[in-house]
Amino acid sequence: MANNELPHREYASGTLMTWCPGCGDFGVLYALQTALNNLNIAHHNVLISSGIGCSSNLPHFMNTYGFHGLHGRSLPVAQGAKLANPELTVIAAGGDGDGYGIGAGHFVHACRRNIDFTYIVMNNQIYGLTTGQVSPTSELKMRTKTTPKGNIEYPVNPIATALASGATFVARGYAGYIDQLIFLVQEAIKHEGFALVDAISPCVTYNRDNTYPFFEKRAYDLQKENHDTSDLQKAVLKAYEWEDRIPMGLFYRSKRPTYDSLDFGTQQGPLKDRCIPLENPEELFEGYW
Amino acid sequence: MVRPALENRVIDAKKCTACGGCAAVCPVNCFDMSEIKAIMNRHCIECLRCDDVCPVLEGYDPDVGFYKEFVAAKSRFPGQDGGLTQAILQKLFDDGLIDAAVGITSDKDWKPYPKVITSFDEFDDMALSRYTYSPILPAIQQAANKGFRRICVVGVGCHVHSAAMARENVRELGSSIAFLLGLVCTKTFQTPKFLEYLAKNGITMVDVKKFDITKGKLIIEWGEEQQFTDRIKRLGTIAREGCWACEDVCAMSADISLGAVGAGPGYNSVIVRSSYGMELWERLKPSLEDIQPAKLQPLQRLNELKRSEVEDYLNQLGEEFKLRTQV
Repeated sequence: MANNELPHREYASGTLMTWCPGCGDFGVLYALQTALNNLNIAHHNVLISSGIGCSSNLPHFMNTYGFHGLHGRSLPVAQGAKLANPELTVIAAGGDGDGYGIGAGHFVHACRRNIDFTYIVMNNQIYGLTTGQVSPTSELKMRTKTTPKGNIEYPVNPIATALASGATFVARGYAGYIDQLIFLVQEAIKHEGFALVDAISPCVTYNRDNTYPFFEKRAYDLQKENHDTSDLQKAVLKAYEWEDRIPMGLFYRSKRPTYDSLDFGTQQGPLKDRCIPLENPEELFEGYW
Repeated sequence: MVRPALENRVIDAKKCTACGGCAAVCPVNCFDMSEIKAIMNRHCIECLRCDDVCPVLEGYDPDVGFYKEFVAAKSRFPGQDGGLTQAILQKLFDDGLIDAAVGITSDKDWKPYPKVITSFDEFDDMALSRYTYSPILPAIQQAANKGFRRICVVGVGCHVHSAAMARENVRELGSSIAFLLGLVCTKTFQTPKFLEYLAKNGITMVDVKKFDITKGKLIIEWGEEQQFTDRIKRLGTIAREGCWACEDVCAMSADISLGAVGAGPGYNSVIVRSSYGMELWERLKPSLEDIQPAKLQPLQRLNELKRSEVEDYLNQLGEEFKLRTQV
């Protein structure tokens, strides 16, 4: 089946792309498609859930199952789906506003809950869909439509937040380093437990500060600097590195039993295989009134 | 999920002019520039940004393009023809309209490369026409990354066209481009083959003082007042393949285009195209030595000639390539 020349095509849906030419999301989409192809995961075993935002249109461009849900609620859907059907490869996708803003509560709890799925955040440090407002990851003093005199709120550090919340796989990719991003997404999908890939994908239309040249100048490959991915303390130190040099790569990876392996309910078999006694549904409801 | 149109319709169709626009804007640096064409080497993420700056994909204006004024002029500079390139650049620098200019220059062996100048004093060796080629758009991007915000592009039709498209479509690159100075160009040559050709005719590049193309003839002044002429048509295979398919003779997207066609010897023909170009032209006028009316007809004829040449070339390539050109 694999098309050697354009491997990612296998997973492309053919829907008309709505992203601006040059958008970093194209890189993330390409990396995801190539990673799925490299891992040889069947289309019908993949579910991608997303929230609201430019980047959350991603499931539409994938030839897999998708769920384009409510704003900030891509994680509950992904977690529910994974618990109901553990055979699925579940991927949640979204933007920085979706994941670190309105969905921040879900994000923290998904990290500590450690259900086996992958979360890819296309982080462009601005609200692109609503045409350029300040986002939770926008840098201090950044001028946007809602902060004409510069941003005064300290930005969220997604890597540090994930590490502090107990995530077992934390990585940052960059749409400009496509080989590394493919590797990271691949490793994240293979990882048992919650995996976060914070994919820097510059907005070419509204973000005038964090552009491709900005990252080209600062980004470096963490794995080339002998970073110990099992050391939490070093990972936290690296997570706070931003100004002059920005680390890209795998920050931290560890093993912890997943929620699905411990949960009493799911140990009796996946929910999708259990039958509801439909012959007499009233019996089922009787206990509730 | 579509591959960039330029891969099939431009690069594979042998129409790429190697302006370097795609290489300048590609977020994942998947293009390598050769002197002849762009080459897609690495992962393409299919973001289609390159399509937004490809001059060949956009196509060409009819006739000689839109213009506001067409005259012949002469400055006090001794350059190619009337030395108008220097005069305009000096005016731009003096008035603070630009903080850098990017053009093509060449080293001692006449190997062309893009050069960024930040004041008029550095201009000296950019003055003469080259007839060999170098992609300059990546150099503009590098200059923009260094912090130059008002860059003047000095280049032939494809350079200027790509820069004009970047000004419209790609903020990162386009917002740094202030002025487009176009140069009339019918063809450029592949450096190694051109050097070979010159060597065959007993000319060493080091001694060459000036290249010129007029009335279908290549004129080279070299050594101690020696002159060499040859008919352009005989240089056929030496020209770059993209040049055979390019219809943009007189830099139709520039603010001001300069050439020698239609003007007398020692004069430049000046085609003022945009209102911004007109503004500069009004400022520049008093400092020029002489301004005369120019003849439009020779330029139009050159255009028609070039267009028929393009048609011949595409016919020669065959049906497969012809289909691809229907953009």
